[in-house]
Amino acid sequence: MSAIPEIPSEPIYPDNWPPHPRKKMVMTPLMATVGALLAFATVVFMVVYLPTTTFEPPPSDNWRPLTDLEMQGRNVFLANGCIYCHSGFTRPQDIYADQYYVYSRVSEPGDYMGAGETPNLFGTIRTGPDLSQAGGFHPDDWHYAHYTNARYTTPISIMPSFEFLSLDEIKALIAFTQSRGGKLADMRMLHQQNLKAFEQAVANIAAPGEKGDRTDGFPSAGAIDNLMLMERGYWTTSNPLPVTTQNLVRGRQIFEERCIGCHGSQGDGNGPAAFYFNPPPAAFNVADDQEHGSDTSPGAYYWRILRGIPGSAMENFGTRLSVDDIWKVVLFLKTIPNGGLTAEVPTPDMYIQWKAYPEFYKWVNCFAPQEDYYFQPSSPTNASVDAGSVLTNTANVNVNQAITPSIMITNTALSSDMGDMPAMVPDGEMNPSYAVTEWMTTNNARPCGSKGFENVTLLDILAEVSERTDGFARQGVDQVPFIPTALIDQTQLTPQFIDKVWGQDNPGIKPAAGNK
Amino acid sequence: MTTTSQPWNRLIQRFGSPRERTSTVGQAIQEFDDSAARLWLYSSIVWLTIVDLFGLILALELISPNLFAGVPWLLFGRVRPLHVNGVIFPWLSMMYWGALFYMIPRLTGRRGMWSERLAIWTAWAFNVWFVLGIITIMAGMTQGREYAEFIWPLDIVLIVLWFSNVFNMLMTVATRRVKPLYVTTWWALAAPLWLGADYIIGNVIWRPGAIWGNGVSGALDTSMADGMLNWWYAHNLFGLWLTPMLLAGLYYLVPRITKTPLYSHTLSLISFWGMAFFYTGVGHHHLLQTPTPGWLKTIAILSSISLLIPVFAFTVNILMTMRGNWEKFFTNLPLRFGLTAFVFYFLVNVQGSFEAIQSFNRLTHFTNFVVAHAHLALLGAFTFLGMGLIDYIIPQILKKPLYSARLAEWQYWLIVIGFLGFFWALTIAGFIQGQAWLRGIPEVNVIPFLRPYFMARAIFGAMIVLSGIVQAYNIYRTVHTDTRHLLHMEISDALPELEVTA
Repeated sequence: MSAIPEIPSEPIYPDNWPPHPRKKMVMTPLMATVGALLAFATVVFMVVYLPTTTFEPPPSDNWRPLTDLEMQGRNVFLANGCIYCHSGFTRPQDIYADQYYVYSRVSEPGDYMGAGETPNLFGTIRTGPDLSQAGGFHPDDWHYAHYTNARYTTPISIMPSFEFLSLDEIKALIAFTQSRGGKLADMRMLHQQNLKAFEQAVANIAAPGEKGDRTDGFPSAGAIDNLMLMERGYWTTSNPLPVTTQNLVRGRQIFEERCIGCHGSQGDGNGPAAFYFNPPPAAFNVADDQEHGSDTSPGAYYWRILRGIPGSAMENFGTRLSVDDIWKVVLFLKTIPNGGLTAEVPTPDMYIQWKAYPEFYKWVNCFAPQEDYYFQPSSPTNASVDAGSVLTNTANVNVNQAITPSIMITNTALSSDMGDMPAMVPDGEMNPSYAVTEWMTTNNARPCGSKGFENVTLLDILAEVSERTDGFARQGVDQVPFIPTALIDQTQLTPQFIDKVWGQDNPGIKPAAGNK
Repeated sequence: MTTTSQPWNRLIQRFGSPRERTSTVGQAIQEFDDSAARLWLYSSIVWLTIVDLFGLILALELISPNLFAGVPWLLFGRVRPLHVNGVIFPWLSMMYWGALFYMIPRLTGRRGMWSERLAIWTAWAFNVWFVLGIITIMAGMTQGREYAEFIWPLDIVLIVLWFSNVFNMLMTVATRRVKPLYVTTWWALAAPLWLGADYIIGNVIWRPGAIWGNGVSGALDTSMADGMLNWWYAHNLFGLWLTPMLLAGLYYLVPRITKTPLYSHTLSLISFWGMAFFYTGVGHHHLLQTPTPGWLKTIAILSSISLLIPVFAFTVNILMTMRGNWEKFFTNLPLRFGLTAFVFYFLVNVQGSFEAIQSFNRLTHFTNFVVAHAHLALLGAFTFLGMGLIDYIIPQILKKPLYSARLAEWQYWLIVIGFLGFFWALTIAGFIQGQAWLRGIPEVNVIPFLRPYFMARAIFGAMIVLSGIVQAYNIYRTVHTDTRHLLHMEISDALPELEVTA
């Protein structure tokens, strides 16, 4: 190609043109490269170098380092793109906009300062909920079911199925999820494990006749264990809503939208998720079913749906359902044995009115007499947690002070600290739920019921258990789940042994072996 | 063509090659070697349909989560980074490089790039790179950082390829014949350098760690520092590469098609230096609700709003250049694509500046509003411009009109309607989410409300996919058909020498 003459930088103007116009800034290649990079570097120094090197808050009080298994789970979480739907930090508006929320605390800078706990999980979109405080709100088996198919536990979810993950990956992922939320999550996890152990152990407590039979006329150990989770007032409460077709229809709609994954489309406790759960989901289709029938008033049902049953897969729906919707579901449940789920419309004539059998009221008045139930606040000087803790002195229990689970559970300051877990109490305090269940498993009997223990009341149990110094009935991060190994193998409760939890030892699948 | 003193002719007289100066028709009649441009553009056209299909898979999975259940490599969490990275790199970046390899020789008076062979080799390697990226991400090998998911070896490969293009570009400009630099050339020099620096810093190349993924790799030591870096990096992919290339492309396309010189050099300078200083600092507006330093949030918000300065400068520049030329919006399809992109670009910047204000951010953060905003930028602005550049450049390179004007119109309308439906469906869904959350309705309860919007999005998204397929088919037929006789079509400016010679 013939040589093209170079074009000079300065144009050649005709002579008759006016003088050279004002010089404009000339962009040379140097300006466009080096100049641009200098501008870039200046801003990078300000917004990248400075923050990443100078913003180094100490780890927060709630933070604790991840274990190896949890780090593996973190990698599984990232490898499968979970951050694209689940964010990893809670914001002030998540807590303060409305109490309805599931998030127990706002994320702090110190939550993210663990060395090596990287890359970031801030996330970008919340299709599903934030998971930064997710630890301890569900037991491990709930997570396993949820990962297999999210719609088993949450029918309205659009989360993909993670069934293809290997069992090791699932265990690691579950461990990681349960770690999110730091020390509070650990406390909740421990609480879950304890209560799961209780629920399995009390199923093995001997009663006349078959396991769980209450032919002696008093609530079974499982029922007592369950009732201890909730405020005494709810033990005998009836439904505040009238039994109308509209209420029943609404209750059925909620049931079909939220409950059938575990409790089954026939309400028989055989939903697709039931395979994974120990204890199994409740069945509602038997009219005279004892544990979920006569021992459970509408108020007790309401409490269980609102607050959940830790240790079991039953979630606290209070964060997602309105109060009147929950009462309507409770109304609807009592129509299921008479065809409420199969009829075109559940009608009031299908409704089974709850009437506690006479022994139940007797038992309640024996076990937790009303006159003992009035709260006398502890003195401020020996309260380790203000506004609620009564059992502050581990050596001497003043049994004249009211020791009601309700104080522990319903105190809102504690609830917000504990993240809405029923029957949790502050660290180091005696947990009445633990105390009663521990007494029952040790004595293999039911208070105010079993022969030889007809007059053992709640206060008696608490006084007896509180004298022990081995901390079995106390809430605490360092507490080891204490169920005697004769009754339950606690290693079954950790992620490493998920397959054993329901595979062979699910009492819902096979009868339990009984006391050893 | 008139021979009187049109401003274009004066520029040619002043800066053109001797052949141009002596020509009376104001067109540079010069043989160009566009082999690299062609390869980059053809590759991008194919990739557009592939990454759009990834997007369609995502849209379908949000409506019917069990659709591909049991197939881990089609998991939402694995296809999503492929869609996102695929739009940015093999579609937009390859298209932009192809456009640069077309425009820069013409702007610098060279026959081609400094090394067409290097550019061609880089194109093939780039294609292979992204295929490897697809395989690794689908297999679950990832660094797990948004927009930076590719494993460390692939990051290195990209950096090598990128800097080979940068080197090619620098050498091209260093050996140019036309000394003064047009504004497109400023961007062609600065933006790839910015992206290279952004990619190296943002992917934390100096901390390889678990180089095959699924461990700590390419991240700073604490997730706090890493999070701040990650989102600075992510936004600068758009701000310091994709946006500058849109400006570069429009600064070329609009004057070129309308044969009107660019309105103002000063406004071009403002847009360039404004972007350089303001865009780099906006990244933290993604993290306005995180427990990060407030001063960083303030810088991000101020930078985000200050971006309106270069954006307005650019907008005025283009609008004034278009004075008297608006009928070409209807007759010239590439210009129509470009101007639609221009409008969406303006809108997305204004929207983004408001989104970066705390009170609005509290409403829209984490919602589908952000997804709609991202698509307004990458689809509405950059993809529309890409289609315009392709529909302009390919006929210019091949010296023949597009195969079918009707198909090109279908391409335009499918993507315009598809995109607008997509955008509004997600914007409304985002508002629903934001308002619901602020009123205490948890995320899981809002999901059923979003369903109709997700379904609308999938339908409109399918139109967008179809538009890309129509483009691919049209270009394919253009390449393989002798369309020289189809001169009655008004969709691209035929070169004057194509006046009928039987």
